[in-house]
Order: sequence, then C-alpha cells, then structure tokens
Amino acid sequence: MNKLIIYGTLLLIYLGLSKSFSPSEYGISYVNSQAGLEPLVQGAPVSVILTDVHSTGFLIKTYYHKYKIVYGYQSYEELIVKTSELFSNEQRKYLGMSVFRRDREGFSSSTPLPPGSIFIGDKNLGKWIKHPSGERYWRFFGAYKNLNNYLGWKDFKPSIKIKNKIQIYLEQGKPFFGENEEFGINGSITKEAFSSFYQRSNQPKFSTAKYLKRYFTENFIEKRL
Amino acid sequence: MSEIFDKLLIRFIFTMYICLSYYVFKYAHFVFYPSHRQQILKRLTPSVNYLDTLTFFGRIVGVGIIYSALEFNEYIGMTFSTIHFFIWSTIGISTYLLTLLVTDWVIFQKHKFADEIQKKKNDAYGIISFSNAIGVALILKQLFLVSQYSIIKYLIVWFLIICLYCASTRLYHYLGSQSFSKLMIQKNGGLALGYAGFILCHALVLSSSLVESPLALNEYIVSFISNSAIGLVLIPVILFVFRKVFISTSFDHPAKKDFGDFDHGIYEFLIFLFSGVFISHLLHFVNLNLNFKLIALSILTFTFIYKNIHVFLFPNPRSKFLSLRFKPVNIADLIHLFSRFVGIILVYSKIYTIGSAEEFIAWAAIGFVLYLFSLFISENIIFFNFNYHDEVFRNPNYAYVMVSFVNSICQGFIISKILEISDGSIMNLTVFWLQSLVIYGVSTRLFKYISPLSFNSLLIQKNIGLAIAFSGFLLGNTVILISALTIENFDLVDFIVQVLLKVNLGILIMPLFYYSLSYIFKITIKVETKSSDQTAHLGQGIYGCSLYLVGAYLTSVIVAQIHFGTIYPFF
Repeated sequence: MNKLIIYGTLLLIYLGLSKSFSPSEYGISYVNSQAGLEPLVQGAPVSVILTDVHSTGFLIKTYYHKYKIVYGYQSYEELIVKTSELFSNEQRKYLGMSVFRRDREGFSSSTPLPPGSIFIGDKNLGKWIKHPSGERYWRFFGAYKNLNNYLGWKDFKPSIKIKNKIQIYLEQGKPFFGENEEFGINGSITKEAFSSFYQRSNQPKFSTAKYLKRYFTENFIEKRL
Repeated sequence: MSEIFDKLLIRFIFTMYICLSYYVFKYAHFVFYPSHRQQILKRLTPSVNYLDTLTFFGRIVGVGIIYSALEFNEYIGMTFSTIHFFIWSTIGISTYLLTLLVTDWVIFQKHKFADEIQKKKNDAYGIISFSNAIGVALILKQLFLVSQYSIIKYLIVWFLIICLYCASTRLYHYLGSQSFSKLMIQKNGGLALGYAGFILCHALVLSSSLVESPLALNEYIVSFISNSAIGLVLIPVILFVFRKVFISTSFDHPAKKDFGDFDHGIYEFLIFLFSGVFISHLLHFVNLNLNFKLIALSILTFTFIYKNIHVFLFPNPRSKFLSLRFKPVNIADLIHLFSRFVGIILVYSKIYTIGSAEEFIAWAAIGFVLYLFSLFISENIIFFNFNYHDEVFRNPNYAYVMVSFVNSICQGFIISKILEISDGSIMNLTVFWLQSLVIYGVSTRLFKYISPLSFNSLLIQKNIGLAIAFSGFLLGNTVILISALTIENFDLVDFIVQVLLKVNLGILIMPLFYYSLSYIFKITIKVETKSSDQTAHLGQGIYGCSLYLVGAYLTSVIVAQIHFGTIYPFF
C-alpha cells in the first residue's frame, strides 16, 4: 500500500512538473473562444486570419489553431494556440477567414468575414478605383501593396458592393464567406492561399498493403548505403 | 495537460509492448534450446542452482542490451512504429539466439549444457556462457546501430563478424596462460574469469570496428575487416606491455607472494577487460578521424598518474612511488586499481568536440579531477561503514571490491556523459556534475526498497550475492541517469528541470518493467535449502541484478528513445 502511495505521489509530481516546465507549454496560450484572442492581439487596425487547424496525440488529442495576424502598418505575425475540440470543430469551417479584428478606434469584433475586411475602405491604406465597367474596386496604396499577399487575396478584388455586404453581415453578426463563397474551408481562394491544411488533409488514404510493400522495399531490398 | 497525459499513456503502452516481446522471447528461447526447457516450463530455483540462473539471465540481459538500440517514432504513427519495432525486435531476438547457438557450439564443443550446469554445476561453464551472452549482445547492438535498418547490410556484416568472433574464441591458448579444456575440467570459476575477460575483450574490439558509414557495402566490408584486424592485432601487444612492463605477476605481501588459480583468473580478466576497453575506444576515435594518438597518450598518462595517486592514498610499507611497475598487495588491491583504469578510459570515451590538443588536455585533466572527486564522494556514500585498509589490505572482502569496481565504472560513464553534454562550458560542467552526483548519491540509498538483501550486514559477511545484486542496481541507476542526461541542452535551467523530469519518469517506468519481468520469469524461492547462505544469496543476487539491469535498459528506451516530434513541421 505504501509503495502505491509513493508511486501515485511520484506520478502527480511528474505530471505537475511536466505541465509547468514542458517546452510545449511555453508561449502557447489556450484559447477556447473567439473572445480569448483579444488579449493576445495587440495594436490596430489588425485582422486575424485562421490559417491552419491541426490535432496531435494518440488517444487524447490536443488541438491547435494557427493564426496570421495582419497589421495595417507593419509586417504580419503568426500565432499558434491550443484550443478545445469543440471550438476547433466550430472554427474549422472559417479557415482562411478573418475571425477577429480591431479598428482604429479600438472596437473589436469576431464575426467570421473575408480576410482583411477591416482594411477595406480605410482611406489611410488605399483608395477606391473606378473600373471601366463602372464598378469601384479597392486598391491598397503602393506602400501597403504587400497587404494583398499577407491577406492571401490572390485574385480577390473587393468592390463597394462587397464592402456593403460585409458591413451588413457584421452588424447582423453572421459569417460572410464572400459573394461566391471564395473563403472558408471550401473556398477557392482559401484553398490556394492557405494550402498547407489541404495538402495534409488530401494525403492518400492509408493502405496496409502499400505501406508494407514500401516498408519492405525501403528497409529490406534497397540498400540504404 | 492532455498532451502530457497522451505522451505518458504512449510510454505505458510501449512499456507493455516490450514486456510482451519478452514473453515471446521466453518461448523463442525454448525453440532454440530445447535442452533448457526447465528454465522455461518450470521455474528456476536460484537458491539451489545459481548457474542455471546465470546462463539464462545472461541472455535476458543480452536482449535488453540489444533492445536499447531500438527506437520508437511516435510521430510516424503508433501502428507504424509498433510494426517497425516488432520486425526489428524479432530480427534481433532471432539473430541473437542463432548467434548464441553457434558461438556456444564453437566455444564449448563437447561440453553440454545439461551435463555441465544441471548435473555437474560447473562454475566455469556458467561464467563463460554469461560473458558470451553479454559479448554477443554488445556486438549485435552495435550492428543494429550501424545497419541503418537495412537487412542486407545487417545479415552480411552479421555473418562476417560472427565468423571473426568465433575464430577469435579459439585463440585463448595463444593469448591466455591456461588452456580452455583445463579450466573446464577443473570447473574453476576463477580461471574461467580469464576466459570471460578474453571473450568480452574481443567482443568490444569487434563491435567498435563497426561504425556508421555512408560507404558502399563492399567498401564498408573492407573498412570493417581492416579495423577489426588492427584491433585484434593490438590485443596481444597491449597484453604483452601490461604483463611485462606495468603490472607485476607476484604480490607485495610477506605471507603470499605467488598468484593462485583464482588470482590468476582475476588478473587475466582485468588485463583483458582493460585491453578491450582501451582498444575499442581507440578504434572508435580512429573511425571518427580524431587524434587517437593524443587520446591514447592522455589515457596512459592519467592512468600512470592515478597509479601514483593510488600508492599515495592507499600506501603499504613496501609501495614504491613513481615506479612504472605496480606490485599489488593482493588481488583485491589489483581489482581496485584496474577499476579506476577502466573508469579513466570511459571518462574519455565521448570527448568529440575538442578543437586543439591544448584544449583536449585541459578538458582531460578536468575530467580526471572530477572523476576522482566523484569516486571519493560516491564511495563515502556507499561505504560509509567500511574502511579500505580493512576490507582490502588486512582481510580482503571481495564483495566490497566488486561493488567498488562497478561504482568506478559507473562514475566513468557518468563523467563521460557530463563532459559530452557540457559542450565546452565550465559552468555547465559544474552544474551537471553536481546534479548527477546528487541523483546518483540518493539513488544508492534506495537499494533497500528494491532488494530483500541487507547491504551493510551482508557486505560485512563478504556476501558475493549481495555484491552482484548491488552492482546491477548501480549499473541500472547509471543507465537511467545517462538516458535522462541524453537531451538537447539549450538552456541551463530548462535542462536541469528536464533531467529531473526524466529521472522521475524513469522511476515511474522502472517498477513496471521490474515487476512485469519478475512475473514473466518467475523463480522459486526455497527458504530451507541444503546450500549455504552464500550460495543461496548468489542465485538471488544474480536474479536481482539481471532483472534490475534489464529493467534499466528497457526504461532507457522508454525515457530517451521515444521520439514524439513537435507540431512545428506541420505548422
């Protein structure tokens, strides 16, 4: 009985110390709601894009989110956070979208919108250009042209019409996936701009026969010298 | 927290898996050795026949040594990793048993296990069989590491090395002073120790001739054969120098001047072991293209310095300071001296990162001083109740000497590891040394929780069984400590915490192996036997030592050789 008590104590010490000192615990915050992102993101104007979702572990899974924090006046940052299974499954469909933003006045919102929605219409960063068709499209000034790449817009050219729709959805608190659903997990622009998630998900299905064949070829037939 | 739980769970699953593979080994052994069925189908009784325990558990330790070369890679998936481990552990067990079958046949020829161990209880057979099991395991472990998971390379090099090993076992007549047949007929355990040292020496030299190399197979074979030829040629040279120049073959004692059979066996064992360790380390440095002459010179210089320190610290009326030739007072004195010599070689076994000769000499001197301090402190902790002069000079206590011998070797391994990880920083070296010394010191006091044998009372009675059990305990603790120290050093505080965590993990995993293996390899403990207490404890000591050592080797796999990977390749 005494031995069991000592063993249990050692187990608790191990778990406690591991929790406190594990390198994976350093600098990785736990976020289980969109509001949890607010203290982690400084400055304004800023747009936070969910770029990847991943889980690790054999029996007990740990879920991770990767965010791209795009600022108006400086380069972007990447943020990895741990999250809950429920929140991860909820947020998965908003991949490639802006899930948090803060404007110049410090007002923040977390309705899922196309990336960089907060920058569209900001006269300090760009202007509306009239197209021959009569439609006005948003363009960043030369000094901020990299924002296009940071936001992963590719061919996306936001028009005034889209800007207005974004505003309506924002006020209603409903997610907006783009006019033709270009954003979100099934969006064509997301698939192109943030491809790492899709590359991992689209790996061919595991086949035991293929695996064993490859295993034996690599380890027993080919001389890896 | 979920991540930590998951990792711990994976470690427990792999622990159970390894135990299961030991269960398979138990029956695989029966397939290869039907004559050993008593060891499998009936329980062993160490108190009645300790030699039976010695031969069988030599193999169990051997499997542990081979397993310690294997790794789990969790990040490739549990299934893949388990299949990989299953395939290579099966190859390891099969080739190990096959190699033992061949080498036992070459070494013992007409001497049969059933006759020698079960009927005649021949000490010589048991000791040689045990050392052969360990020697073969050392070779196969290195073969695992260098074959890079290529079965073709593994089988070709295995065939070659076993041919060389078998051929070398027939050379004892030329290198040793006794004939093999004589020592087998006399059933002389002392003389058999000489042959055991001879086998271990060749195993060490041959295993160090194997080196990881990107060479094509044919070039690799040529390189391996030339390395082993150099190593095998060096053995008689070193032996000659030792016998003729450094160590006298008579005692510096008024009553007993000549070596007896037992003394002679021990003497042979020691010089073979020293030669094996020395040559294997030189070959290792040659393979790494390091300045092996400088390393050899440093080892010999510090060995000579230690010899004089020994004469100074443990003086006897006739000892000669600064003389090249050492004349021991008795064989216990010689064992004590050689344990330090072997330890000194081990201290310099992992100094790879030394730039210039001056830097190397400075670090070699630091290592030597730390080694002596470690020995002084650890011996004071272990033998706080005993005095060197009483236990060695006045009334030789071989149990004391054996524990001291193993302690010296353990300290050699630990200092070598610390020199490696300190990465040229005195600050790191000091902190790691203090930390490891504290952990080692505390661990030596925990023997009473592991073994029913009482250390102090049995050591006073010169009980060899206790000495064997305690030696296994010290070696096991060293294996776990070294595996805990095998981590990347990015930050001093983080490193210290990680080492403590790994030691804690080792303490959690070790009992699982210890009790699982005790369950798999059950023994019968007969309380009332006709044998003397010494013999009864001998069997128990061998059993305890083997189980603890195997447990420690396997724990080192779980603690240091499960690679979890990180999230960063994915993100």
